[in-house]
Amino acid sequence: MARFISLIAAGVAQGAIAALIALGIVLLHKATGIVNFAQGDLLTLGAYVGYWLIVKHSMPTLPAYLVTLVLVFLVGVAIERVGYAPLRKQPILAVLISTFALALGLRSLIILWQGADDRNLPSPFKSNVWHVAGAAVPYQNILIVIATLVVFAALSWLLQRTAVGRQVRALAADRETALLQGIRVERLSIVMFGLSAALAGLGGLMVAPTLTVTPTLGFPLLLASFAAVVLGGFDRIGGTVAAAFAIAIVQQILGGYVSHSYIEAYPYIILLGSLMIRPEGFVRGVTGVRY
Amino acid sequence: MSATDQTQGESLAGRLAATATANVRDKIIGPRPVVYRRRQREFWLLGAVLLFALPLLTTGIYGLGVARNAMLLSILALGFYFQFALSGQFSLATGAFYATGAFTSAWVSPHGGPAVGFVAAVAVTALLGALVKLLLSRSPLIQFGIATLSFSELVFLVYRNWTQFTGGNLGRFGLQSFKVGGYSFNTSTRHYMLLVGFVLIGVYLLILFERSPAQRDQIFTRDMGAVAKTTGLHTRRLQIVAFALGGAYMGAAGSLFAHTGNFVHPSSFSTEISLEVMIMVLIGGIRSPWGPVVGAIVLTVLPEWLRPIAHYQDLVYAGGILVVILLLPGGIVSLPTVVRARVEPLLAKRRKT
Repeated sequence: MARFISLIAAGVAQGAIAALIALGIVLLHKATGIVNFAQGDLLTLGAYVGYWLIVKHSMPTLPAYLVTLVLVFLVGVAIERVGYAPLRKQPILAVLISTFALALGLRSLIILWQGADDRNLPSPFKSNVWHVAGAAVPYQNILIVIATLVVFAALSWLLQRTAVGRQVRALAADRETALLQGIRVERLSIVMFGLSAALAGLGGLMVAPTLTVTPTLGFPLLLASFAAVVLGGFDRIGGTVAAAFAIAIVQQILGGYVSHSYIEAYPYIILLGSLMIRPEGFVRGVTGVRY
Repeated sequence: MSATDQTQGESLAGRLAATATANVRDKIIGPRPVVYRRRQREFWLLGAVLLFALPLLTTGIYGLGVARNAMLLSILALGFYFQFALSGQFSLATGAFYATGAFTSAWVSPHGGPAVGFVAAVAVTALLGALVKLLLSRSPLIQFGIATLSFSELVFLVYRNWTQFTGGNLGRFGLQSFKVGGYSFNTSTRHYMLLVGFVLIGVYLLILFERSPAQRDQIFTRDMGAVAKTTGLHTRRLQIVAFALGGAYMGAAGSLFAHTGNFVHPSSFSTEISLEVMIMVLIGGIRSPWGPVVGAIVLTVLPEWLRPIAHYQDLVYAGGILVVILLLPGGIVSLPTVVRARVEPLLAKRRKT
């Protein structure tokens, strides 16, 4: 039982991280129709900036987190200016590849700045754990889940209750008609690139204490959250979050009870399987939603 | 008004009208695709001479090793060119096909020699490519890219754990070299010559493909899938075939890797290879079969020259890709054409004045 609970707890924490990254991907895809492959390296950047501020410059945790988020937001805006704005009239493929190039550039900048050695970002809760039914759950994992839920709530509010959100939803539902209505995509895409980058940065800050910070921290996490995005149907934030939690919990349980040497493989298998059966995702699409 | 004036006027008007429609046409559906370039066979012979002469520039085993690497990556890049440039499929599974080719060949060759291993590797990777594309044929572009990425991670994971097939942590070593008749390709120079031979065959097949209706079907499917379907093309089948052929090239590269290096290990392959090959094809050029080869050679040799600033290598790559996407969509191989297009009007002006 204790084992089951700790597996579930690990799955929930892992799912929360995947959900944070996936929310950034979905938000950006809704607003611009593209996927930013630099998201994983933005996450790494968030972790490194957090480490640099908190460990190197012994800044208090909360201001350091805020400064990190602002910085990563600005990097996201820079990525939009360099890698997306000049290519808006080119095929999606060109944009995808330019985000790959920017990911590569970002990663090499991180290595130039901090070196390739491992770093450790301490958790604000040290290594304290919460004992529940015989299982030990680190407080950091609880923080991760709370952060994800707060972000999810905030994003839902943003998308459903504000003018910006209405514009994003309109773009996602029917891009051309939305453009004809005079939605200012230029401004919107800058903000959305920044926001989704900040979400990745937050993911980095949250996940760093549970792992070791290395220049390749973000990429595997990005892959795992892609599974959630695809399963969630690419444009539904609720579905994506649910899928992220489901995939991570299934992964932990299969890893704990079936075979541990293939634990990394389960999200990939789920992703490939779902693309074979239902490439449009398992959550109802956006068509038919009233605005 | 004389008769000659009238005909001249007509032809001028006709010419103007023709250019006007051409301009409008270009704006709406893009410039007319080049059917095929002139003097391809002559260029092929020139390329052959240059590639066979390349070892003269290098020194010793190390230089030949770099050259071998460039040729292997060229073959991979040709496969990627097939999938990406001709068929418009964004795949990041190059490394997985490469590994599959290498391990298949290493596994089969003890039972019938490297040649049998090579054939098996090509067949297995082609089938694998067809299977992957068949199962994922309904996935849109981005999803397909993501799916191939996870497919390749999955494949690497399986190869790390499936020790009977890959030899596990020991890898497979003592692999035989290729033999033709009594002649064994068993030294570094001979390895290189063998690889050049395969690169040239690969390029030649692509040139033949470019001159056949098959390429036009591919481009039609790539650029206007839905329209192509209404004209009766089997778009899904065409895409599966292109993906499988690209996979076969990569499998061939894997087999050549195994039998010119005599050693394969699961850690020899990673997603990095897929990204590197993609960068090579983009920087080399996606509009000519020579693009992948030029890109592979440049990006393998350049790091050797850039040793002093090795830290900035990835940064240089990233900048290079952005420059190519923004300013030089045809890659390095299109440089002469682009330069000529810029210079010729200037020369013409000077001649007039």
